[in-house]
Amino acid sequence: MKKMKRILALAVSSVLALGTMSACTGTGTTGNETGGGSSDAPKVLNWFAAGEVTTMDSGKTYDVISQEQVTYQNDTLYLIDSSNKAVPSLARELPKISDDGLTATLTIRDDAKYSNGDPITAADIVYAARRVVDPATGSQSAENLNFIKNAQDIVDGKLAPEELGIKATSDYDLEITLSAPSAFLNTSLSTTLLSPVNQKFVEEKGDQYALTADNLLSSGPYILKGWNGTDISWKYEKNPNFWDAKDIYFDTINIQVIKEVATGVNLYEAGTLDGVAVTGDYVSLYRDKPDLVTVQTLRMTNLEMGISSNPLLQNLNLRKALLFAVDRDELAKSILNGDGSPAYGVVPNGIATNPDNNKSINDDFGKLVYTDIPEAQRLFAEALKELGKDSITLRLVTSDSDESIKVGQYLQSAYETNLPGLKIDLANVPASVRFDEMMSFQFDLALGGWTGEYDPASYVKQFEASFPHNHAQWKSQEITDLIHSLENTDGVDYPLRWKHVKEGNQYLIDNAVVVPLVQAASSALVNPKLKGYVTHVLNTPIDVTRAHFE
Amino acid sequence: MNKWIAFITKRLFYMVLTLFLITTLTFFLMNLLPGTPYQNQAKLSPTEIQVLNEKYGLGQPLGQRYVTYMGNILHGDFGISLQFSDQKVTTLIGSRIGPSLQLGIQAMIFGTFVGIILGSIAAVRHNTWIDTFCSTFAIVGRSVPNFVVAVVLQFVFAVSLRMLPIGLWDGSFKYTILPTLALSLSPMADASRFIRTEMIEVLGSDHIEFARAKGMSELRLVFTHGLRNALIPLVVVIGPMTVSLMTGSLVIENIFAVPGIGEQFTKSILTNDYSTIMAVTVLFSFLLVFVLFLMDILYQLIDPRVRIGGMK
Repeated sequence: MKKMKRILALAVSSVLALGTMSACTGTGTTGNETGGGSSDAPKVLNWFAAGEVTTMDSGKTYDVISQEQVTYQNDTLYLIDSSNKAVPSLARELPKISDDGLTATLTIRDDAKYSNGDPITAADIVYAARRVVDPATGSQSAENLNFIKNAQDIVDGKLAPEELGIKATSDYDLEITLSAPSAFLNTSLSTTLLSPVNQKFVEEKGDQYALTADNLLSSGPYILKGWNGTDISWKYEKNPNFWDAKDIYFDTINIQVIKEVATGVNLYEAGTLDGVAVTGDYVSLYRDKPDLVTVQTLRMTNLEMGISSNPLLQNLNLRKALLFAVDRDELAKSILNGDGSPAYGVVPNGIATNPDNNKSINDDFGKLVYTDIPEAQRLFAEALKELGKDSITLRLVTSDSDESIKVGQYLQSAYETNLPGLKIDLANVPASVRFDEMMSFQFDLALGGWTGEYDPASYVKQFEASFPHNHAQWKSQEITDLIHSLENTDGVDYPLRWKHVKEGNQYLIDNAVVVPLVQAASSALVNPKLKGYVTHVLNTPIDVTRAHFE
Repeated sequence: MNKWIAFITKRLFYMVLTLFLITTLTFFLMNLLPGTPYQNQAKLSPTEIQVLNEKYGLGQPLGQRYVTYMGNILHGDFGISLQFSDQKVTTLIGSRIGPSLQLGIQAMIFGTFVGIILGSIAAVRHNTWIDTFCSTFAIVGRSVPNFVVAVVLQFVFAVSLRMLPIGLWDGSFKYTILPTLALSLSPMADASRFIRTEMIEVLGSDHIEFARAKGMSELRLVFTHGLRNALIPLVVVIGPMTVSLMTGSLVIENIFAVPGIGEQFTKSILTNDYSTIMAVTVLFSFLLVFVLFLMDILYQLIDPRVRIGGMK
């Protein structure tokens, strides 16, 4: 039976490989049929989405796929450029901050309109913000507006939405009261949660609002067409009323949901698609081709430890042994096929640079986590002695996605090989089960991860005593104090913030509170003629709204 | 006639009872699933989850929710999907069931038709190389997973020969050919195996020998006497098979990028999308129970041995 399976697996993989190879060496029709052409012909981009859209309501999106779709149709106060900086879009300039750092004022454009011709005013942004935090809306992203005063209390039902710290002081002027001085206000204001929403339109549509393309208004570069709520293909047409319509190149962007990477690659090679997300073996296959675009993300994949639930893990030497016994280079290259890079610490590289000398996180914070098997073995022996045990068994829970299973198996084999006496019981379970174990703080080891915000402090904060997602239930005065400073007193003193984040990163690794593994990347094949797209480390990896064909 | 009415009434009663039990059982089992239906739960605080639960009526005790739910579905209100923020579950199913039904029915018709032919040929040419070929085909068809077949078909006919589309769906027939072929392999194999076994038995029976002795042509013998008798057991398996084909296939839909219902059921369970789990379960069970009911009636009509009131 086993032999049969092996033969079958071999046959299937050969067919797949053959298919891809023939596709790669191709007959020359590599996805360029829609590119170029005469200037009169409609300019069409055939793009992809990795799954269905969970919501097109700009106030409710929480997942990367929906987030991307919403950006086609919604203008934002600011856009994030490829160096993670906010640049004005609907807002005329960057916000002015009061001396105490608690009030931000900004002016929006007076020539912006919705797709139906209605003017966009500051009141529309106030309405959008209140709608997000109103419990009646049921937005799963409400916490992203916590930087605005009273947001959390409104979300928790303690205050009315009108109490939110945002008001329109004129048709085009906004005043935002902040919960605390914020060093990352500009990027926080770039969210589509604060895209203008037309109150009259929403109230007119009632519970049908945003459920289909006809029940949406666009304030952004494109207008959604042919989406009925659960489709796997739809399109965008250029919004002639968009204030910056002259800079929008494509007349139409067709979106196709592609869930099977092999099918996507075949469609890309046949010229049906101008882009498609790829993973695993396809990343290696296209490694040296101009089509492959890999974008580093701020998603950290970590091995989390149930420090509160398993007394064994309260032993520092054991945790440190786990930290040093994994080869992250091998994990990133061989297991993840380059879909990520080795983690050096808790804070991801590329999120920010040292405000004094512009050094990257990896250079400035240093390589705190690395492979050192002899040291790991020494620490493990020490731990066994301290715990009075000959061997230790830990249960590792991972989600049941292909990638999680692979990483789980790799960790199991690495730990059992490198640390004789350590046994890892692997449990591959549905994601919701893993979440449940982690959120009830009842687990030994779990393959988890964290995507924070543009503020590096958001990566230290996950281990703050009262933070709901402090799965390890690590409670230390050091982290509590650092987070308190970062959130309340550091303000916009960037060098001081940097110092505190660096201290937090160092503390978390010194105490082996978590085992950082890799910083994830996302890859796609993109028609080499497509230029002008913007890559992002958070949310939409490849933003094509302002892209064009060469 | 009265016996028929009694028979149908009894069957209808069992149908409703079965559906009620399935719905009830699923409702309570589903609520044992760990986690919340909120996909962003990794970022939600317990208070926020509580607020959302209240909005979606998930904060009430289970018993009360059950009563409300049963009341609602009697009025045709299956609730809203949490996976597709606030879309009605009926909209979700309505937009997805069409392609699955079309592919399922096409695959069933094509698969069974070819299967019957292969099975008949194998039976008539019993113990020859033709029989071996047909039987091997049936075994392969049954044992090779349809996603492997799908990938091979896609590679050969779409990528290499460029005769058919690689995937996608615009409602036209050519987009349905490859997924239909991939799905039809299993009914084809089943039909061919059933027909072959039954036909060999029937063709060896006394009444066929008698007809042959009377000088009836071999073709007529096979099709009017042999096939007709051999079809009876096939009817029993065809019903449930049709339902399982019509309710979609996750892998085939993903490989050919078909907007079908197959994935939604799996995904709704993985994401704790309670309303969708319930609605799809009710739909699938209804289809199955209804088809079994039809099969029962059909069986009465075609097989005199089980006919109500005995043979006449």
